[in-house]
Amino acid sequence: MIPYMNALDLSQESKERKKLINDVIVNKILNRREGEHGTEILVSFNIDTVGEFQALHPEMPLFPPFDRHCQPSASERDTIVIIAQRHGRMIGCLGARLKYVRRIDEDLRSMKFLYEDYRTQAPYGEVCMVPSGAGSQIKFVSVALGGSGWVEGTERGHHLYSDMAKLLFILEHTRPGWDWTYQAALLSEKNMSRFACHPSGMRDFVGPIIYKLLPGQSVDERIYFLASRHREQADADTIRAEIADEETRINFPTSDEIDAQRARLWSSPPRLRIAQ
Amino acid sequence: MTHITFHDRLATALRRRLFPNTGLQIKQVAGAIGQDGRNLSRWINGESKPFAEVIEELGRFFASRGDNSFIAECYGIETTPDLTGLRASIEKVLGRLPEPAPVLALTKLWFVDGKCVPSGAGHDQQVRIMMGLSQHVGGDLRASYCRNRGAVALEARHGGAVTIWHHATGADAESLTACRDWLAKHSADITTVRRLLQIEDTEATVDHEDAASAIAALDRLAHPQREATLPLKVDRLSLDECPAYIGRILKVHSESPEQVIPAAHDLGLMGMASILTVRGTAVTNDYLGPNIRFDRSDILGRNVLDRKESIYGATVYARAQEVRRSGPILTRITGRAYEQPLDYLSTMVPAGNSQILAIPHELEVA
Repeated sequence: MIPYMNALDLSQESKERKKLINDVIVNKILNRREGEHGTEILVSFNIDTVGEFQALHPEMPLFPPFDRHCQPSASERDTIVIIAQRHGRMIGCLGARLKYVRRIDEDLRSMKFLYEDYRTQAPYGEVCMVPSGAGSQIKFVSVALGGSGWVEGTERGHHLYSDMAKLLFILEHTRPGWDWTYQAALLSEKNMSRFACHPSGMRDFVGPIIYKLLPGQSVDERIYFLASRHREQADADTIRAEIADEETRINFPTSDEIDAQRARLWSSPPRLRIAQ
Repeated sequence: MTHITFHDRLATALRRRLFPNTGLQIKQVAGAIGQDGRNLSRWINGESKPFAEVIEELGRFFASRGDNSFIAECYGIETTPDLTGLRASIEKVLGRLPEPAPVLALTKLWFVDGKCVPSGAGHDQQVRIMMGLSQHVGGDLRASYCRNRGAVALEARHGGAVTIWHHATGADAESLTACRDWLAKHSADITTVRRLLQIEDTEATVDHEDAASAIAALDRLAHPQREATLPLKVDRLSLDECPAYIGRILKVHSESPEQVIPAAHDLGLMGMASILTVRGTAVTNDYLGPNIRFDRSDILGRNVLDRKESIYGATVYARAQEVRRSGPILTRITGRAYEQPLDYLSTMVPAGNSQILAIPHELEVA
């Protein structure tokens, strides 16, 4: 793991963006974190860091795209992990993966999106059901996927998660080689306010994704949502001075917004296709 | 309180200017103003007083020796010393001395947005000051500021050795120009210049034997040729996509890297190949096949990061470092350099003895 300032690379950005990102956004957030609260923000490009964090915090669910066992070919070229550390103890983790999808709905159904080798890596009997149209606009592109975010209970409520997400977004947008078209997040009911996309992503919020449904599990208990937005939208939302404001929310959509979306989508019986 | 008369002041002023307080004898002064020496003795002892015109004569005499304060002292007028004559004399003497050799003092500077910022407390500390950054924020702040702000850092040491840090391709033109101007201003004091360039995750070294060479390099970076500013793209490809004859070179490499260059020669590939040599953090181009139609004077024997085509040179450097780290690579290069459009595949193979063989081949379009 290396200090955030060592990982930040704005060498390919315009002069104006360098000033804005380096001098305003990153400066303010790091000062807030490391100056006032003594929390170091570190960066790793190794997916195993997520596993190490999860080993310290077993209560954190390990999302398959960030699990080495499910992603044996993950490399430093397609992985960014932000770690918050206080007095040598890792207290927060947030990851991003760069994944190439043929069609995100098909890759979800086949579960290639989650497991590089579905037949050997996925639990026996697990299926992923995707309603028609969900994410169908995301095809043949690289997707920046966020996930495996978790903060110790005692550290919540101080914008730590929000700041980690902002710093992660900046690395996603500026790191050479991270060329992607869509930013995506899979939100579970239990994890809906931790990490997500801006409300602008709700426009692409086509429907609920139900996946990892094991025999005997209830569909209602296993609902996940796919939130996505174009890179341009994500960039305009992320690279702006206000993002350094402590009050700026990034944990969209909120529970209420998810509920509203669910109510709209589930007002009529969903048409689900079960993966073969 | 004792009342000081004109006679007292006259006597004191004369005593101060005569033997034994100075080397001036009474006879000398008396002779110069046409008086008898005994008269001067009487004036000094307060036994008599001179006429006003004699005091004036005395004033002129002392003034001719560079002392303009005699009259003022006699009349009790406070004056600031007139050092004009003294200054002129000193300047005259100094003018005869040889010019002292200027010595470059220990200097640390940042060049940001075209401005020169003294950084006496160190480059890292100055970054904290400029950004208002907390002392808790860790990392290599000098490297970060070069990479993320396009700034240029400079350190000059006693003896004229100058070190410059900047990003290989992301340095701001205004900052490069400001640094270049500083070098030009102090070029007489500079003995050597070393540039430490950030490129990807490595730091490359470019040494210059004098300031002029470094100035030229910074000029090229600050004002790249228009053609060179067109984006160059380097895509890493799978080695499986190499043509069959490259496969033979790769096989030789896996068995004996030292035999890679002889094997390429036997296969008739050296006409289009080049050999790069990695010395520490510097990469030089020591061989360029005769069939490669680039500006040979800009390439042969030169550090790849000191080329006129600085961005193309940076891509060569980055690929060479990748080869050192991970072995043979195949890349596709598109863009423009040396006044020609580029679109070719390039295989780079370690060839032992810190050498890398680069073999460009025509793009095969399916």
